[in-house]
Amino acid sequence: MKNLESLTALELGELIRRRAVSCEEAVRHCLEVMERREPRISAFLEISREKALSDAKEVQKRVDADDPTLSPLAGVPMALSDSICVRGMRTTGGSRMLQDFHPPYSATVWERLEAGGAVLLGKTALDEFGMGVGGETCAFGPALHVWNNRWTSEGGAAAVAGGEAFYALGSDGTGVLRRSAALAGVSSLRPTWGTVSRYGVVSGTSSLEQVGVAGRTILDCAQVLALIRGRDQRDSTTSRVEFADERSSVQGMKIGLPDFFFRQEMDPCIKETVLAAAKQLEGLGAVLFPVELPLADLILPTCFAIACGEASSNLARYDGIRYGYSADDVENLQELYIASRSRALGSQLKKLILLGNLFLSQKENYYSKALQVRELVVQRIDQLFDRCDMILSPVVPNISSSMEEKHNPLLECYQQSIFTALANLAGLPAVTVPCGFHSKGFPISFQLVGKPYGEGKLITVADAYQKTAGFSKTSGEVEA
Amino acid sequence: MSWEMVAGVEVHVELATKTKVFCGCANAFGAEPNTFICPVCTGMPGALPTLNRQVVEYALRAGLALGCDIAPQTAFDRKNYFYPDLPKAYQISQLSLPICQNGSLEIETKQGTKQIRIRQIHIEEDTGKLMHHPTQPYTLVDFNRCGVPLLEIVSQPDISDADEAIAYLENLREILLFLGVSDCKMQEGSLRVDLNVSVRRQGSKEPSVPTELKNINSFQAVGRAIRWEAARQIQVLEAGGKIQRETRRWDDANNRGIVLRSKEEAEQYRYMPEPDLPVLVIDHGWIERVQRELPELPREKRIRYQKEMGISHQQACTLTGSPQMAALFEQTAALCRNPREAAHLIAGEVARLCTETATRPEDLKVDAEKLAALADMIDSGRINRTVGKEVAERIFRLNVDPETYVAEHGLAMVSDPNVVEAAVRRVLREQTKSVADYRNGKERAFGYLVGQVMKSLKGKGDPALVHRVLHQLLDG
Repeated sequence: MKNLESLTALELGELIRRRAVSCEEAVRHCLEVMERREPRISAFLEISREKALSDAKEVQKRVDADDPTLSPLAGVPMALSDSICVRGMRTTGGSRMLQDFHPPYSATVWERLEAGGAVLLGKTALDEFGMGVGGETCAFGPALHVWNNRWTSEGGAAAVAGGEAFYALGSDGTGVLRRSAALAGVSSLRPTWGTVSRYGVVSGTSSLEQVGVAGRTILDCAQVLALIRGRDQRDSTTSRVEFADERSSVQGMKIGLPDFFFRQEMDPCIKETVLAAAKQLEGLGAVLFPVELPLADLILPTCFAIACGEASSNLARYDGIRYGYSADDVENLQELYIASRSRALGSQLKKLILLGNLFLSQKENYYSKALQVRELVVQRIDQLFDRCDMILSPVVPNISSSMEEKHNPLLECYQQSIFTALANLAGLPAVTVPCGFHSKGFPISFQLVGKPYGEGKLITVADAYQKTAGFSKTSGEVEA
Repeated sequence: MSWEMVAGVEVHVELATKTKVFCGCANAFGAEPNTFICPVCTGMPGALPTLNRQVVEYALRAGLALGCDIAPQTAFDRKNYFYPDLPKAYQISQLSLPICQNGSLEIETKQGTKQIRIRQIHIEEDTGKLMHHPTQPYTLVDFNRCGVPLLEIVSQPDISDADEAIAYLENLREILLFLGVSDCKMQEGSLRVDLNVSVRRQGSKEPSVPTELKNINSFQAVGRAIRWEAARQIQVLEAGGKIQRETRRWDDANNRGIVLRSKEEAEQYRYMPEPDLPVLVIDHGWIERVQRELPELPREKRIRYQKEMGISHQQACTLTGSPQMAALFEQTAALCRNPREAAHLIAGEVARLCTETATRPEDLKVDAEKLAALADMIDSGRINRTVGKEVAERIFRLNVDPETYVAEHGLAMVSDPNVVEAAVRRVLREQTKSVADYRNGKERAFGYLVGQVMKSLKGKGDPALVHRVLHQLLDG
C-alpha cells in the first residue's frame, strides 16, 4: 500500500482524482492506522468500517465517471464528532442520555459533505453535549491525547493528530476543538457564528457554537469550510452573506497582540513559543503591535454564564419521554424526570445545568446581564478591528491538571478557556496553528481571531506561516 | 360602599395556516395522533425552528385590524418549563418584543360604546395534548398540536362586568373570523380564554391582586366565571381577608374556580431570548401591504349595508353572522336588482335553514346566482314572497334552478284580476260569518279572508291585488 500517512487531505484528494490512489485504499489505510492507534487514544465512539468501505466504492464509481459534483476532498476519509447527526447512525452527543439514539435525519453539514463525496470513518468522542474543556466529560470515556496518553482530548483532533482521519468536524461551543487541536499539533478553524448550519448538530450552547474543522493544514480546514458553509433553509440563523475569500498577502497585515492575554499567568514556554511565532509573522511582512483588549476581564465570565444558561435550556428536552434514556422503575412523572436525568447526565454537566438555571432565574438574571455585556463586547471588539485585521494569542495558558481524566474542578476548566472564549462570545472566526514544541515534548499552537467573516485573512496568515515554518504536518509517531 | 370589577382577558387563537409555525408539518385538527410531526416539532436533538411567514402575516392582520402599533423589530423568547406535552421543555413565545402593541377594540355597552384597550398581541407555539387513559395508570401524548401557531391577545384591565367581557370576546371573535386568520372554535380549542379578575371599591384607584381563571369553555361560561370570581373576591375582602395571587381552573359544571397554583410558582419560567431564531425585521412595505389588503370588517359591513342598501340593522347583523354568510349576501346582492330582496332571502330563509340543518358556516354552499335570480323573480312580481320562501328552501337543500322549479310547479303569481275576483267572490259566499264580523268592525276578520283567498289560489295570488279586490267587494 502507498504511504498516505504524510499527505494532507487536499493532497490525498488530488491523488484520488488522478486515480493514483483509490478511495478504498484511502479508507483501508485509515482503518489500519486506527487498528494500531485506537487502543491507545480511543478517538472514536463508533467506527463504521463496513459503511466506510462500501461508501468508498460508491464514491470511486463517481470518481471514475468524473462526476462534476465531487468536491476536491472526494474520497478522503474523515470523521464527525458524535454531536453531528447522520441519519440512522447512532448519535450520542457524548452522553448516556442518547446512548441508543438514532436520528431520523442528518445534519446539513454532513449532507453537504456527503454530496461532495466525503467518506465517513465514524463518530468521534466529545465532551458530554460539548460542555467541557478537553473532552474529559465524555460519558463513554474521553479520547486521549496522541502525545501524552494521560491527557484527554476532543476526539476529532485526536483522530487527525493520530493520522486516523484526514480531517474531522466538531462543534466549537466552548473552544474544545481549538484547544485539543492546538495541543495535538494539528490546525483548526472555527468559523464566524452563522456561517455554518447548526441543523442536526446536537445543541449545547446555541449562540456560542459553530461547527469547526480540525485538519492537517489550515488549507485543508479552509477547503472543508468552503464545502459546509452558507445559508441553510433549516437554520434561520445562517447568514446570507456572500463569502469573499480574500486570500490577500501577509504583507502589511495588522496583527494585534492583546495586552490582557499576554499579561495572563501562563506557562512561560507556551508564551515564548507563541511570541517567537509572532516574530516569524513579522518576518513575513505582518505588522505586529500590542492592543488593548476591551472589557477583557468580562469575556470569560460572560461566556460562561451564556453557555450555562443555554445548555440548561437546550438540555431540558432530555426528559425520558420521547427518546433517549428513560427510567422504567418509576411511579409517576416527577420520578421519571428525576430518575432519567439523574442517571443519564454526568456530574459536571449537572453542575453547569444547575448554574444555568440560576443564571436564567428572574431573580438573579445573570443571563440577560451577560447578553448585555456581550453586546458591549461585540461593539468594542468591532472598534478594535478598525485598528487591526486580527489578534494573536496562545490557545491554552498551560497544561493544567484539568487535562487529566477524572480530575476536573470547574474553575480550573473555566480558566483553560481564557484565550478561546472571545471567539465564542463574540461569534468571531478563529484559527489555531501549531508553531513549536514545549520542552516537555508536546506541540504548542497560536491562535488568530478575526472580525466577522474575516476567515479569508486568517487563513492567508496561517497558511503563509505553515508554508514557511514547516509545522504543516504532525510528525506522526511521537507517542508518549 | 359598592364594588366594581377590573378585569382583563387573554385570548389564545390557533391560526389557520397550512403549516405549523416553526416547521413544515400540516396544521390540522382531528388527525390520527402523532401523524403530523417531525424532528422540529417533537424537539429532537439539533432540529431547529424556522419561522413560517404566514404566521407573521396573520399576526399583522390581527394587529392592524385592532389598531395596534407594529414592532419594526420583533423577537422570540423561550419560556422554559417541564411538561410532557412540551417536547423541547420550552415554548417559543414572545416576551420582550411582541409583534403588536397598544391596540383597542370598541364594544357596545348599556352605557354606549366603550374602548377596551389591547396591551399586546404576540406569536407563540401550541403544545401537544395529553390523553389520560381512563382506567390504566398511564398517559399518552399526541404531538400533532405541537407547534400549531397561536396568537395571544392580551387586553388591558378595562372590563368592568361580565357583559363587557362577553361583548369584547364576541367582537374579537367576529373580527378574527372575518380576517380569515382563525376558525375561532372554542369547542375544538382554537379559541381559548383566560381571565384576569380583580375588584376595587367604587371610586378607588387601587384594584385587588388579580387572580387568573383558566379552562373556560364558552362565552356564557366566561360570564359565569367572571361573576363568580368577582363575588368571591368581594366576599373575601369584606370579611377583612386578602386576595392571593393565584391561578384557578374554572369548573363550569359546579360553577366554581378551583385553585391550580399560586402565581409566584408559575412565574419561574426562566425566560431567555431564543438563540435559534434571528430578530425579525418587519419593513414598512410589508405593514402597508397588509393594511391595504385588510378585508372589510363586520362592523363596517353592517354600516354599509344599512346606509347604502337600506337594510335593517337586525338583518345586517344576521348577514354578518359569519364571513361566509356575508360573502353569500354580497355576491347575491351584486347579481340582483334589489339588494333588499337578497337580504330578505338570506337573513330570513338561508339563516333559518342553516340553524335548522345545523350547517356550519364553512359548509354553507348556496349558489348566489340562483338566489339572485329568485330575488329578481320576487322583486318583479313574478312570484310572491310565500312562494319565494319555498323556492329558497329548494335552492338551499337541492340546488334547484328557480326558473325551472317555478315553471314546473306552476308557481308564477296569479295577477289576472278576473281569476282573483272569482276567487274572492267564492270566498265571500262561503265565509258569511267572517264577512259579517268584518262589517261589524272586526278588522281581524279581513286578514282571515285574505288567507282564505290565498289558499284557494294555492298561495300564488298577487297579495296587493287580493287586498284591493277584497276591499272593493267588501267595502264597495
